[in-house]
Amino acid sequence: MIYRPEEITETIRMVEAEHLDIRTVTMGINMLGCPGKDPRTVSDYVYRRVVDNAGRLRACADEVEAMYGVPIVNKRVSVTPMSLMLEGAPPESYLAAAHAMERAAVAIGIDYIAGYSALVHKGATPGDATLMRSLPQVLQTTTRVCCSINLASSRAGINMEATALMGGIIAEVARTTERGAGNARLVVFANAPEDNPFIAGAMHGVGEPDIVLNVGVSGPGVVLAAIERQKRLEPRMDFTTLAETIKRMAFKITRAGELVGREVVARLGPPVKFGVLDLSLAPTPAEGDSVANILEAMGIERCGAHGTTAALMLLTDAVKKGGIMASSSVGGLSGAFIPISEDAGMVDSTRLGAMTLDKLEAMTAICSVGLDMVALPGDTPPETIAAIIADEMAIGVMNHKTTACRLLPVPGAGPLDTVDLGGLLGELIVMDVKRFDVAPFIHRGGRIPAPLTALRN
Amino acid sequence: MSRQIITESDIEALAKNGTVEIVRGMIVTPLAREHASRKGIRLVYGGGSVPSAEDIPRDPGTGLKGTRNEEALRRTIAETVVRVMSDLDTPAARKAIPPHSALAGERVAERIADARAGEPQRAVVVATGTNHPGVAAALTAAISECGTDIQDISQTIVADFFSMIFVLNLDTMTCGLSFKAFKEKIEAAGRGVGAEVVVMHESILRAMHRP
Repeated sequence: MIYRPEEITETIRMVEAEHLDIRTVTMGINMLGCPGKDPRTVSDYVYRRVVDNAGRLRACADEVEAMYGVPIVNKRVSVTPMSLMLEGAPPESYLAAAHAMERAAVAIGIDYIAGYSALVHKGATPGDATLMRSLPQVLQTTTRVCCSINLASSRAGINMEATALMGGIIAEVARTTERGAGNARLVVFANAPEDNPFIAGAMHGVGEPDIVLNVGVSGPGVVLAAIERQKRLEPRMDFTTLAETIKRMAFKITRAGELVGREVVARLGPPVKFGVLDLSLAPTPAEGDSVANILEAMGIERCGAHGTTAALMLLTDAVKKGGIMASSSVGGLSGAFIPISEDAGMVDSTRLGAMTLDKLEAMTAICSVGLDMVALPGDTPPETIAAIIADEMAIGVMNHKTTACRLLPVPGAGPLDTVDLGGLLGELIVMDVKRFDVAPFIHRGGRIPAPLTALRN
Repeated sequence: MSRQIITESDIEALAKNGTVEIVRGMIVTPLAREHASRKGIRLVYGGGSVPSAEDIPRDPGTGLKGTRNEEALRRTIAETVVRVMSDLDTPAARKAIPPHSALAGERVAERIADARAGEPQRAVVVATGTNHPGVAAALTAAISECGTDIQDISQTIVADFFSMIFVLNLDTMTCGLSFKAFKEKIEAAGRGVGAEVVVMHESILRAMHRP
């Protein structure tokens, strides 16, 4: 046999029982060639660019899925940050662009399209400000458009004026969309990557080629199963063995991801280029497909207990090491997603009080991507929301890593209430926030200067 | 094996009739390569030759004695490149000829891709279930109906359970089915005799388990 039976059965098991999947293929589309700024031109251009280039995305991804038997869960599109395309345009054009994105997403049959974004880490242009102010209306009048704002970078520091503004906008979106769910499509970043395939924070950066396909590989279920198997063979395995087990599995997942991604690109044909593989463990609500459960399999009773941060470090580092050996095209976020909603283990730990906002924040300093899908009490003041964002930005800026916040103040909800946002978003447990006043700090204005480590030349 | 480093100064010393034979174990430095190309010295690799694309305009006609027909020469070189590159199992082979190369006109890149696409497409079929007469017959009948050739079979029986693995060559398939339809047909044939059948494309196994 050219393949050993164990290799064949392992592959089958990974796909059939352990939820090995390609989490997303996301097509990045450059929008900088827009010939005009008036709403009509903008709308037509955005719609045509998406439909012409990504029209076959779903069909091609489905063909590849059928061929290799590995599910491609999401097929999505990201575009150039709209603030760059729309600078100088009247406010109506901003809404026209968002609505064109929405219509295009419906036309090509995808659930999310991202890139209604602005980069304001050092300061906001008039266009950036218009875009930020349009966010509540955009999120209210669309269901598929995802927005992101880069508020900070390691080279520029933290734009605190924009951070304060976003605190207010998030509070407003919570009031103006049903159960505050609009905020699930709004992310704020420090050091936003330009090639991230994961919605809602995806965007097609300015250094990217015209059309590019980025692939998000995942598979917490596969990693969890590998650890459980190894534990049965070797109940007292040490950390080196643990890391090795994760690494080997990450290698295989990444290889499968690259194969699938390149095949989709080949079917789409030029000018689509293969971009990056993003090695992020992204959970789904399916039983066993949870990042929290992996940390618990290492011997922590509940994710969020003391020791969780160390366990997360081992996990993400081993995933990256395995992945980097498997492919030379690793990029994007490449961290671990620990959203409080889609991960059944995270929801349980939060309900039991093991996972708190403080612990989550500590975990994001090590390697996860940020405070993702964190529900806050409905009466959280905008200043407190801005302060939570500022803390998260500080972690990203000082550690030269990407951090993000997707915060959802839920009107009428209090700490530890359960909120069901329905559909993909699932169930959220509201986390408690500290009630002390931070308004004078947030309203100071200006920018927190870049750290000393920004001066690297 | 000991390695011999061929440097710029070695090139001329080793040259015979305008060629240097490079054998296994020799390493030619980039400078030496450049020097050879400047002097019109060809590097011959143990048996087959791989001339560099830059050599073409001033190649002194070796390999095609008596003719100064550049077209014919270029074609011969293109043949060699296609032959050598399509043997290499690397995706880089497709990008081997940049568009500005003198060989680009010969569609070398496409021909390499065609040659590589000629590799057999294979499928792996795994069947498991309780053993009873007719299981293998049902599966192989479905496989042969599609015209796919069985390249390898492995079977284990433990107590009443069997596990059977087939490696199939999809290139001989005559039924005109897509991979998806083929997969459904074989899996249905398995279900008909109470066997659990999974059909996989070989590429996924190669990606995950081979370097």
